[in-house]
Amino acid sequence: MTAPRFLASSALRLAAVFAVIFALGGALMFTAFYWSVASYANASIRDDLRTETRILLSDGGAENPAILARRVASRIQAADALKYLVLDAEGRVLAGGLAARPTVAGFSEITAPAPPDGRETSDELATIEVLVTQLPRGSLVVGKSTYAIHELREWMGLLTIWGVIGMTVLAAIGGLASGAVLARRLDRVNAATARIMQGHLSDRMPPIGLGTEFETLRQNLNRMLDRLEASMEAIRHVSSDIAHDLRTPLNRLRHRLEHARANLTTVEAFQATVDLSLTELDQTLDIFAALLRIAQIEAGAGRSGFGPIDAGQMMQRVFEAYQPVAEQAGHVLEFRTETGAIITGDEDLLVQMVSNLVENAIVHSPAPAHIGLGARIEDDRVILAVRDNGPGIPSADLSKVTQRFYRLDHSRGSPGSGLGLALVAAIAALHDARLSLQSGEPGLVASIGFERATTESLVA
Amino acid sequence: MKLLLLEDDAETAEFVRRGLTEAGHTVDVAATADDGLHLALEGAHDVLIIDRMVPGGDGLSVVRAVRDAGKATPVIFLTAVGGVSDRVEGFESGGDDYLVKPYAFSELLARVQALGRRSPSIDLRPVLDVGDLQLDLAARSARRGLTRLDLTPQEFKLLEFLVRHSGQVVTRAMLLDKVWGFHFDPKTNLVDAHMSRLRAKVDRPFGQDLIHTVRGAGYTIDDRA
Repeated sequence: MTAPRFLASSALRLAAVFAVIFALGGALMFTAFYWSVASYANASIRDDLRTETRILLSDGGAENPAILARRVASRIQAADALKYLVLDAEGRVLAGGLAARPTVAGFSEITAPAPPDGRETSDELATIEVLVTQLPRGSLVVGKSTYAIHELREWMGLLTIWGVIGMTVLAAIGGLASGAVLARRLDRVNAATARIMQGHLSDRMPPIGLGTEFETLRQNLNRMLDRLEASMEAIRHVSSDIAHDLRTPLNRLRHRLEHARANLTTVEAFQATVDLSLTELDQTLDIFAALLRIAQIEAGAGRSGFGPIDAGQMMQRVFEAYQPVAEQAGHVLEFRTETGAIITGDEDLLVQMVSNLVENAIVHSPAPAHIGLGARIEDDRVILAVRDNGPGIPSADLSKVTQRFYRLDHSRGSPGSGLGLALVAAIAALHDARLSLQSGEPGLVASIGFERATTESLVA
Repeated sequence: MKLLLLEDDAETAEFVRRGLTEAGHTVDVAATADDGLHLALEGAHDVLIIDRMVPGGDGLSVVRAVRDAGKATPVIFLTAVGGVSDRVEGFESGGDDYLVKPYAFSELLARVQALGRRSPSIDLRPVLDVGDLQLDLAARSARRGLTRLDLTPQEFKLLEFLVRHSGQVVTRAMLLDKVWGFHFDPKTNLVDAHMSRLRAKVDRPFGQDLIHTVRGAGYTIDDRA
């Protein structure tokens, strides 16, 4: 096995843990088994003795020692498993024979030599369980060898020891084997991790097997990798965006300053160049700030500031802010809302999002245009919408306009960074809201669907 | 006014110091959090200008320490990060205003002056006035001379902010921030559009203008006549 050392040792640890658990469990189980079988055997011997005594003493056996002696004599011939002793009042043996003469009434255990019939070695002692019954004219002793019980106990003791040893060994082997399997599976995961670290970012974890928990782990790891890959892709994208779209204006600025240094002679001309340069620098800085903001929002910043918002009131704020702007540009701005359109989010960001859409409509629509904004409730959703009857966006471009720096051909000449809708999309995504851009025939309908929150959350 | 500037970049600090001095203020400059806190606790400054990121600690911790020492000196934060949570953090630690780098110097000057002039007694007056313009804050009504001005709530709010800072320059960014609660830079001339409506009601019918445009900076309201 080429597994790294920690995996090999983890297999070993697993085996040791299994072995200990099974050894303890096995010992406990076998001991309980041992005790219950032994006590059952003992109880069954006493049962036999009680029954035998009852049969012997019935029908005059108890009162007449002669009858009892006769019965015992016939029993001895019939069943040699039991041993008997019948004594008269003076203690003389009337029938049967035992090595000892127990006198205490009730059950007791006596030790007797092994039966002399050659079945056992002569020096081996056997214990006999006896039941002594005092009679009016003598006493009766019925006994049974417990040799078989001792045999059973001995045998079960051995079984217990070997059973525990066997189970422990099997558990250790099982632990080692499953540890090795786990190690081999994790080996594959480690190999995949190493590949990903080497830069194969689109590689994913192989199936681990071994059940649903590991499959869930694999899926989670892969989802994490998806997110990371997307983030890195986004960063790479932003980097190239910055390289392209920020260097261009900076380069222009540099040319202008070079030109001023080389050719301008009057203070007025210099001032004009400086003013122009400042304006351009500000625009470049704005782009930079917008990019940072989008990146921050995409990274999930701002979720901590989420709270309940009355979308209608929020849209009204935007409406009141932009109504004079629209009017000055020769447009008509209209506002409509429903009450109870409560959503959860960051009001600062949402105001910026809606403002972006309204500003787009104001800037890109030729006057006089009708621009409408509002909030409406659809089932359990709240839809914020901004619509205009301007030129709209060609359907081929609708899916691309939310990309950073994507600009429609006809708007390239007008001011704007190409980041507005990217910011709108980022803010919507932060709120798990669905942004949809549709052709309004004519114009554009931008709507953002939020999950509707309860009115109570606004009070709380 | 006496100002404290906590800024670690020597060139920026010198540029800002020179600008503020030319505007008639005295400026103490500190480059580290320790020096900044030391100066802030020792000197009687009218406004503290605190960079968020300085060697030896966060500008936030300096302001917290100043507040903990019982000083209520107005604070304006300068920061390179302009996220929503950063702004909230700034206010929570005891900041009064917040400016994101890069900023125009005129913006900083206007905000510093607005903070320094702020005095609780002015804030509590029930009626504010500039020239013959009177604002009744309780009734939310405005008059010029004997003529009552018909203002929307939004217009009243804008006028109130101007009048509270009469004689000072208020920038568009300040107005967006304080009047509209917009913490971003609109692409359209939002402030100018509202201002021209306001002027049409406050100034145009009366012959004498109170609201003036300050080129390259913002607006101011005063009785220059």
